[in-house]
This record gives sequence, structure tokens and C-alpha cells, in this order.
Amino acid sequence: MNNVNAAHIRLSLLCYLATALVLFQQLPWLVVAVGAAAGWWRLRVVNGLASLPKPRWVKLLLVSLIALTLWLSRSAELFDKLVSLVMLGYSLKYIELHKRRDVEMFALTGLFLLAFSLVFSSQPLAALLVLIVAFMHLLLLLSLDVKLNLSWLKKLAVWMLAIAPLGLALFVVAPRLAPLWKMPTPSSAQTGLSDVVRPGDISQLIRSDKLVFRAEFSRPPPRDQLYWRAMVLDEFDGEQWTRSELTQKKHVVNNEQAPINQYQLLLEPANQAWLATLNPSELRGGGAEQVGDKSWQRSGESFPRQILSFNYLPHLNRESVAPEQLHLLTRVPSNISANVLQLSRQFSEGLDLNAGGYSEQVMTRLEQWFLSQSFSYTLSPPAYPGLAGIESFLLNQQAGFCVHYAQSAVVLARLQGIPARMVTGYLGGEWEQADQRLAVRNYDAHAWMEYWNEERWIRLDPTAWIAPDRVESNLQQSQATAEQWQNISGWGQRIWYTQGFNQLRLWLAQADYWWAKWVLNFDHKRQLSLFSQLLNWLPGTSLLMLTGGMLLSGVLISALLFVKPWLWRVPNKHVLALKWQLFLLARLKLHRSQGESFTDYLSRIESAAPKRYLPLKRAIQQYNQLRYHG
Amino acid sequence: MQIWGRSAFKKWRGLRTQAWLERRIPASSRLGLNRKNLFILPTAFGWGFLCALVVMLMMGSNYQNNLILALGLWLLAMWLLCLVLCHQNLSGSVVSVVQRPEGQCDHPLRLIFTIEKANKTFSNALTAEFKTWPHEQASQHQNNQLSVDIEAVQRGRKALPRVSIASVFPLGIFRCWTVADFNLELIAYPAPLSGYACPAQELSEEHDIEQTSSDSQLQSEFAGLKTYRSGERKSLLAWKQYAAGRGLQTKVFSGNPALDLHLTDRLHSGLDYEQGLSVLAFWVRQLAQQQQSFSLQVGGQQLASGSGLAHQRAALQLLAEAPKQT
Repeated sequence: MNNVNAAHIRLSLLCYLATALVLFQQLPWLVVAVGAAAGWWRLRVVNGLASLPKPRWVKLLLVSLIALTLWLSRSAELFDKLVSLVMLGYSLKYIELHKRRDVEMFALTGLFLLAFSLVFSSQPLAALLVLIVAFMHLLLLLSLDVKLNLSWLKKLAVWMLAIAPLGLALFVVAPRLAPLWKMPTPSSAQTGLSDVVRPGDISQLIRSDKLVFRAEFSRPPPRDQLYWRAMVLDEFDGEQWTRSELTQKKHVVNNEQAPINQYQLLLEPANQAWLATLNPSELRGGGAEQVGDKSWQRSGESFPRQILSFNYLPHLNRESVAPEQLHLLTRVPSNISANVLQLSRQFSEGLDLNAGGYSEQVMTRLEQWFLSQSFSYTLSPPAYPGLAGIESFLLNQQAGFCVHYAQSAVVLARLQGIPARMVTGYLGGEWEQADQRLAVRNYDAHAWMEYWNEERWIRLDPTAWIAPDRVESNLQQSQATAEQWQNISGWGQRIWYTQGFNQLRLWLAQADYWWAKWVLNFDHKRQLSLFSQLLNWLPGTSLLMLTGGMLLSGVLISALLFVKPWLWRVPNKHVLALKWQLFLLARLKLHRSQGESFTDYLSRIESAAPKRYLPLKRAIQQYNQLRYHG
Repeated sequence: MQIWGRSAFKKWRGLRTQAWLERRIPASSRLGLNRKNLFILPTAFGWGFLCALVVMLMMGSNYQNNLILALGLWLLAMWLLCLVLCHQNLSGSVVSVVQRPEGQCDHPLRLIFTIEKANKTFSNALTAEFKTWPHEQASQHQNNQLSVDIEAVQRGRKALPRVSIASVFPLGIFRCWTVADFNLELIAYPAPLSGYACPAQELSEEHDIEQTSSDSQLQSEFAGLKTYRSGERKSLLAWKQYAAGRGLQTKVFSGNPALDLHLTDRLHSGLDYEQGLSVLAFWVRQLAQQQQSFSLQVGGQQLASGSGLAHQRAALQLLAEAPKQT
């Protein structure tokens, strides 16, 4: 069957639409439109309503469409352009579906596009969708040889499921190589903390519930200590906070303290290097390095899904920081308003800058002042641009978000000569498994400050003075902010985060966690640890035997699923006994000839092999008993 | 010189292959397909698919994306599965010839095999093909019947080469085939040529009948005249009697099987030898249709008188095998 008929065209159109659906967000609309138009035209041709264009016109169309596609995706990443081009070829392949070869090429291109789509999204749902669409492409290939009907559909599905054990064995055993060369990375619309913070930036971030990472603890951590410190912003130009070069310099710390706790970060793919860790921490395994502000950054150029493990350390009693660096951290923009200057003076009145405990006393006064005013915590604060914004926040509006509190506290501390800096990161997270596993999402983003107390850096969260329950629970869980959060988020999120869906949300989170841990993050290290566990469990085996055994058992299980031994009928023992006797006689070259009755055969045996006569007679009797009297 | 060497090598290799096949799959009237006589290799698409899988796995590795790896490995397992399924599709079938290719050479000659398998299962999507056949051929497969239409351009009896029965059944990734030898012969009769007189010896002018083409009454006995009624064939009008003023009358014939016609290839004039055979082929069919018995003499060969389908077939075969005249 070499010719392509209407059924193939219809099925390929279906395949095309499904693939376009999977890749919809990544493609320029034009490509999908061209594909749909090509499919529609091809259907009309098949139904005799239109005719195919001349090859010359197709070529011209092709060239102009390629040019147009490149132009449309000119601002996208190289990878996106590549996908668009492949998709365009896939779309135009319809016009040319004439022969078997064309359909085969079409299906292969489709399978490749599905692989591309997995670069963009690796959620369980996306994977399931890809699996279904891949199945459709295989169905298209199958339809080249047989006329499709429901039983073929079922057959193909059974085949594809039956090879799952083999596929699984291959997946476990397949070597996980390091990237051979750098690939163009897809453009990502991922949002996250940025290394430039303007007041109001974080309140944009909290609208998103995208997962940033999961953390697994070996021991339950104290819940009010879950300040995931991502980066320090220590330079303020009156408009925005940025990182000084000192904070970004690589910094190696040799630590001799015993860890308090251990935790693992299961990171989602990101487009920036920073890591949110508990402070202080030291790296136990994985690729990351520490920088000057004691935060951690991932090494390498791309930041895929990854697992890193850390030790959580006790605080150092003494840290050493160069005095000139400390001096830099007391600088404020010169044009700060007089009202703020005046306000700040009351915090150090009567205190000696050089006396011990100066900074603690100032910060206590600061806290008391904040509490005495009518400050309030809001997720949708008014805009407070620049230095004027600080004044307006502190003296007039007094309603703000974590960044405003952190920023004001840093500025007021610096005005009193205390080295201080802003820190951004995440606070808390949602416990997916009590005291063990925490999911941290974009809406957990937070900002706080650190000040220098002559010995070490002290973390201070001014937001906690105003909204203490924000520290204890996340935005949806705390009474005060849940409603506010719902108001600023989209209707989809609003429904999703209602009480009714809590259980479902947790189940999905659990599934997502297992997916991330055992499928997406099944890397070289995890593979090795699984193998070493198995080696411990099965003493006397080697890695080679284990690998071979896994593959073999995959093949065997798949083969069993095909042969279906559970459908076999167990033969009767009398039948078996008779067959055995016949086999023994056959070895003596005494075959029962065709049509020869057992009685005749028996009498023949009696003379030819008297030794075998009695057992054969008994077997025949029992068989007859079973067959005719039972 | 080099060309000669290459063609000689090709010839030698072809002979070697033939000899090897002769030993491996000896000629027989029915062939049970099993591991011994089935061959299996990936098709071009199969190799392409494998290459694409390697690229996909490399992509998965480079992006450190386990899902792409999983998709690639799943497809790889499927690729391997196709090997098994493709072999299973043919293995266990018994191929036997139902109808040998025989017929007139201007029509495709149909060769039919039955493919039987235990447990009421069928082999799927088989094709049959003569690899070295220079003319067109087309294969069809339905349930347990596999047929090939072979185009023959020349009359004659010709031994057919080994037929390759193949299938790319699941997904077209592997091609499983056998090259079976059923001792097949193709018998192509000359294409019938109408419009010429019957080259029979008993034919004489005394019946006084116009020799019109397709007039099957020629070989029947003239039985008399009857009055013409409108609607009757004009060709049967007795013009001589009409001219003599006896009114319009038609001639009536009665078939007379007892009257033996002797067809021969020596009677036609103005036609070359092959065309003469074609005319004979036409008349053999005509006579057989009318249950008229006839004998045939072609190229020194003699076919005794007879009638019926078997006789027709024997006569046509005789025509097909007539020695070529140069």
C-alpha cells in the first residue's frame, strides 16, 4: 500500500493539530496557521474540490514562508527559531504527502518536534500529552500497512505498553553523559528574583505560583528560621538596589563546624545562577560556589533541573569584614530628604556610636518606633518611587510590602552609621510533608535586611514587626494576607487555592515531587546510588551483571507480556503422561503413524519394545478414562 | 576493462547467491516460512529512524533532559519490538500457489498465492515481487490471498525467477522477506486479433457466405432461409436471393459440432507469423465458446480435435509455445 489516501491525510492532520497544541506557546502564530491551511487544502484535494499547486509555486511559497518565519521570530532565541523552522517544514509536508516515504518523514519530524517540546516543559501532564501525540504518529505509520480500526488501535496500544518494562530497564541503565557540547537554550518566560530590585518588584513576583525549588530536610528545621537567602543587595543609588562587586566575588570558606542539619535542594530549571539557601550553609554535593556575601551560586552556564545538598551550620560568633567595606555599607544617597534625616536622628539620640551594643539599641528603638506608628502590611501597596517614596512610606502612607520595610530599615540604619544591607530570597514555603519537605514558590519571595553589630551580621526582618503571621505561614495560609493575595491573582489561581482544592493540590504536588525526583532528576549520581544500593542488597554481583540483569529482566517481562502465559491452559497430567510415553518411544524410532489407533500401536509396541509396553498401556488406559468416561 | 571486471564480478556474485539460495531454499510447491528461509533487515526508513533516535538521545543528553531520553529509549524499545513483530508476521505461514500466471499477453497475468497460518491469524501487508522482472508488476494482499499481476509483452512460456514475498508490516521499520522458488512458469498466449477470416481448412466458398469478422456462424452448417423480420442482423441477409427478386430473407445456420474444423497456421495471407498466431488465438476462443470442436496445427505441432475449456487451454498453450520464426 504505497499510496496515500484520504484516511492518512485526515490522521496526519490530526497529528499535526495535536503537535501544534503541544508546542503552541513556543510557536509564531503564522506557522500554525500555515499548517492548518495546508491541511485544509490537502483535505480539499483529497475530496476532489481543489488541485495541488505547481511545484514551482510551492518552492516560492516555501522560501517566502521561511523568510517570514525567521522575521517573526527574530527576537526569539536560536532554539525557538530552530523549532519554528522544523515546525514550518512539518506544516508544509502536507502538501506533499503522496507516497509512503512522505508520511514516514512526516511522522519522524513529528516525533522530533515532540522531543523539542519536552525541552520547554517537563511537567507530568506535558509528558503525558507528548506520549499520546507520539502514539498518534505511530498510529499514522501503522495505517500505511493496515486499514485502521479499533482493534488495531488496541493492538498498538498493547504493544506500546508491553515494551514499557524494556523501556524502563533501558532508562535505568542508560548512561547519563555530561553534555557533549553547548546547545542553544530555549527562551524562558521564567520569572524569579532579580539582582536589581526596585521597590515594588517583589510584589509582581508574588502573583506567580511557579515552583522555584523543593527542599528536603533530614531533621525538622525550626519553622521561624526558614529564611532562604538568595542574594545581598548592598548598593543603593536612590532608585534601585544592586549588588556591589565585592559581594559577587568568589569566596572560599573553610568550615570546621559540625552541621546542625542537612538539606537537599531540588531545583527547577532557572535562568539565573543564584541559589536560595539557609544561611550559613556549606555545600555537600553538586556544582555550586560561594560568593563574597556568603550566598551560593550555581556553576556552569545553564541551570537545568538539578539536586544540590547542603549542610546547615551554626552561626559564627565572629566574622571578619574589612573596615573599608563596612564603611561602604553605611553610605546613603546624598539627596535624601530632610524629613527622613530628622526622623532618623531620634534613634541614636544619647547613644555612643563606638560603645558596645550601639547597633542593637538603635535597631530596638527602630522597632519600637515602627510599632508605635500605624504601619500596615499590604500586597498591593501604592507606588513609592525612589527617595521620595521612602519619605512618603515612612511618614505619610505607612502601608507597604516587605521590600519597603527592608529598604526603610536599611536606610535608617545606615543614616545612624550602622553597616546594613538588603537581602532578598524566600521565606518559608509550603510543607508537602510535615517537617520533611518544603515547596518554595514564587509567591514566597521576600526581602529583609542584615546589619553589622561589630562582630557579625545579624538578620532582621522588619516585616515581621508589622505582620508577624507572614513569617509563620505563607501568603495563602495567613488570615491577613490570604484575601489580599486572592484579590491580586487571576481567577484560575483564586479557584485553585481555595480550601476545596487543598487536598488535590497536595496530591498533585506529591506526584510532581516523585516525578521530579525519580524521573527528571535521575542523573548520574542518583543512578550510581541506586546501583550501589542494589549491589549492597544483592551481594556477589558486579555492576556488569546488574546492568545485564536489568536489561534481561526488562526483555523478559516485555516478552512475557506478549506471550501471555496466564492465558495458557494447564494440560491434564494424564495427557502429559501419554505424551511423555510417546516421546520416549519416538526416541526409539517407534513413531505412531498417522491414523493408527492406540490399540494397534500398543500391539505393535508389545512386540517391538516389550519394556515400554506396560507403562504405555497404563498411560493409554488413563487417557481413555479421562477422555471418554470422565 | 574495469567495466568488464565489474560486470563479471556482479555476474559471479549473482551466481554465487543463486547457488546459495538454491541450497537454502530449494524449489517446492509450498513453502512453510520459518527462521531458515526468512531474512530481515531494517528498511531505509528503519535506518533513518535509528539515526534520528541517536540524535534524539544526544539531544536529551545535552539538555540533561531525562524526558527526551525516556522518549528516545521508548522508541528504541519499539524499534526492537518491530524486529520481532515483523518476523512474527511472516513466520509460521505456509505459502502455496493457487493460480499460475497464464493468459493472453496483452493483459496482466495473475499469480495467486494463499498464505495460511495457524490459529486463524493472518499475515499482514504482504507484497510479492519478481526482482528481476523487466516489466510492470503489481501486488495485492487481502486476508489470506496474495496476488501479483505480471505484465508480459511477448507470448511464450517463460520460467519466472524467484519471487520475493515481503512485508514491512508494523510501522515500516523492518523488512522481512523470503525468496521462494515455486518452479513458476509464465504462459502468455498470443493476444487475440479479430477482424480476420478463420484460418480453417474446412472453410470453403460453397456455402456462399460473406466472411465477416466476428461472425460466428461461419463454422456452422447452413440450414436454409427464412423470411426477414425487422431487427434481425443485416449481415445474415441473403443478398443473392434478394437480388433475384425473392424478397428479403435471412440465412439460418445450425451449429454442427460433428463438423470438425482444422485450424492451422499456414492459411493466412498478408499477415506476418505472429499476427497469424494472434488470429488463431482469437478463433480458438471463439470456437471454444460455441462448443465447436476443432483441431490445431501450429509449427509442426499437432493438437488432436476436441472441444471444451481444457481443449481451449491446450490449444492456447500450443500457440504460446509455437517456435518463433526469424
